[in-house]
Amino acid sequence: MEPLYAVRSTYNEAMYMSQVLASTPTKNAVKKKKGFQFHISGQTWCDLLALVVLFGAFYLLFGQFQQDARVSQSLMSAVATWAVLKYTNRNRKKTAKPGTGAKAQEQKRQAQTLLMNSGLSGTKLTIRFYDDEFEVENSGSLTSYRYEGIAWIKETADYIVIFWNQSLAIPVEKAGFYRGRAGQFLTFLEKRCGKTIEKVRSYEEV
Amino acid sequence: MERMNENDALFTVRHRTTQDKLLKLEKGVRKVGFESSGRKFMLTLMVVAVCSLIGALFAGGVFKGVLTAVGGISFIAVVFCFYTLINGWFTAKREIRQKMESEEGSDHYEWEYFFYDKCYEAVGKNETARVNYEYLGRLMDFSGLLVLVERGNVVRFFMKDDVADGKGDELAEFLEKKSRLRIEPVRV
Repeated sequence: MEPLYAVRSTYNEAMYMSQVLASTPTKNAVKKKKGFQFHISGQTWCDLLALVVLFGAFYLLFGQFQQDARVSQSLMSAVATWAVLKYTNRNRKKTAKPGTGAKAQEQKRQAQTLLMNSGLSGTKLTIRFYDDEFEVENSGSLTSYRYEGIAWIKETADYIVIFWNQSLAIPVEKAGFYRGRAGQFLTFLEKRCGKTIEKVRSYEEV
Repeated sequence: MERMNENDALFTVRHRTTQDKLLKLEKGVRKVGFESSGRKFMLTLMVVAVCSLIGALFAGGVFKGVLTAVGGISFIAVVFCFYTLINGWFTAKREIRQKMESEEGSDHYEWEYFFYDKCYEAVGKNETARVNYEYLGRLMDFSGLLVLVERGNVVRFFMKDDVADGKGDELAEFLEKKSRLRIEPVRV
């Protein structure tokens, strides 16, 4: 039987990035974070909070010192500990591209980890959509799903992400259609599942 | 998808996902995760805490203060780690219970597995999968719960007792042979 729509794609970082984006609650993904954000020398308020907590912990621990020595020792110890914590985090900061937010970088890291753990990097994938079910085929498995089981669907710039459940997402690459077109497919899917497809934008697009 | 002939299956499993099985799976996954990285981190923290606090007993002046601080902070971190572990377990337990209660009576949790010579088929309410044995990434035994982790992190599980004709151990051996993987025993 010939499929109504068919897509070929490859498991790569972009595919997992679409899953990460689609898994993020829409409220956070679309709306820009508003409100007061405190920055000191490029560090977020979290660093300041960490310093205050560390200072407090050291102040309590240095009870045997005189007041002035206690404050200075606590301050020095807090700064030193904070510096060590920042140093261990340096690789993450180094990989951050200028002009992209911390959240976008975090999502990229998540996508890379998911791709690495999946063991599917570079593997080809074919998805065929029939009238009553759709099939996902790769080098080692063939799975057919009934449309009734779809939990929800989201759309990113390059992918349509079909969520089977909370932990399983099936990404359909818009550019990979070799039978039918992405635009028509969206209408078909909405009608077939009786669900509204929600659009998701990345933090970089906002 | 064209199904294979069930009569050709070498092993058959019919099982229902229960709260006990999900809890066993959750416990096992947490244990595996903890053993791979968390345990080393916590042991290091505990060693640092104990050594620093013992050192502080014998040191004097500024060193005493610094060692007490390092020991104290490490101790706080250990407590925090324990809290996170315990809290995570209770949260997962509650979520599993709520999920099972909300979908009680649903046939969503009925699964059938058919193991053939070259591949196996997993048949659920709305999905059917045919998987080659080479596609398996990990095999684990959580105290009788056989866990098959496919590439792409799809996890399938059932009790050894769910295997028809009491062939649980035979199936485990068969899977090891076919996938060329060793079953990792995890006591839960």
